[in-house]
Amino acid sequence: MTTSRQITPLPMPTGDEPISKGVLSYMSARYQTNVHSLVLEEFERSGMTSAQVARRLRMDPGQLARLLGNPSNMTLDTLSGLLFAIAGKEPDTNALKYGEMDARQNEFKEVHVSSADIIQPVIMRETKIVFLLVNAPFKTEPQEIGMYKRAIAIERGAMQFLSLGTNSFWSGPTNMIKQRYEKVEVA
Amino acid sequence: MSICVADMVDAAWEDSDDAVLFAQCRALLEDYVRNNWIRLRWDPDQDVPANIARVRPPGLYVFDFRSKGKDGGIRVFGAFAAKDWFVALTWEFRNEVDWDFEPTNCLKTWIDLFNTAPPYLGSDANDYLSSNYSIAHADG
Repeated sequence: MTTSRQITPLPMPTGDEPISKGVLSYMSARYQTNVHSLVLEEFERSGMTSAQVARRLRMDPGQLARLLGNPSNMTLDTLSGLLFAIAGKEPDTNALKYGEMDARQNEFKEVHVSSADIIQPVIMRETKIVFLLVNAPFKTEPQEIGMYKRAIAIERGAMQFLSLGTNSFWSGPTNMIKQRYEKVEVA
Repeated sequence: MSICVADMVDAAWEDSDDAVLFAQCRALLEDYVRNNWIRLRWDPDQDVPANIARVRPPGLYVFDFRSKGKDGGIRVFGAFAAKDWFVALTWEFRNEVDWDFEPTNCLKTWIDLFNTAPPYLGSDANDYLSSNYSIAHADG
């Protein structure tokens, strides 16, 4: 029996079905975070100080700090102004299919592995994966695998939510799993 | 990610006002997962905007993800297991956060789950993320 769970992926629009408030909010927030990331990246690459950027935009430094500090403060107006002021650039306007921007797609497949190998700290470090154990004490000895009932993890740098069952886990594309767990016995 | 945080982000697709906040929070967590550029605030005493910040008391090394939204949005609390490895443990609506309780509760949750394995204790902000981040300072 597996105790793992999946994070529900984004429901895509179909037919005449109304899109929920949550989904619309997510798409808006996702766009804002993408834009925010773009501006931060350009700002860091530019080597400019925030005071310089603020002067170019005749903006209060505190207002600029708020723009750079949180995605939700970024509007189309501020985006275009900031990109131009920082780097003399304008935003790209290509429309991409959901998930296309991510190097690794957010798709979940079940893969059976040796759980004992996965949870060894050395493996955790190599794979940059954190397991959060639920209803079980944390043990690092492989023979304690029976204590592990459930875990979910996120990894930075890969669109991935993981959950660990007693002998299986869920994650992103299979090829990535094989690559990342090549040192682990696949059951 | 703890089950309670997973439940919250899983409710993001619902058609409710709370789901709007959950969805914004999910997008922020995914922003981190996707290795997008983010701002990290190290000094809890500096009142500067950031995506993720160390919270008071700093000695607990508890961080929060700061999702803005209606009534302040949502804060997700957690700690790092290692560089780049953030474990999201608890969450609360921003306007309902008890700042005396939440960081301690977060650390208690960590101890309950990981027993004697302590959170990762970096000496400065650069010890926590390896790429695509900037440090939020009071001077911008």
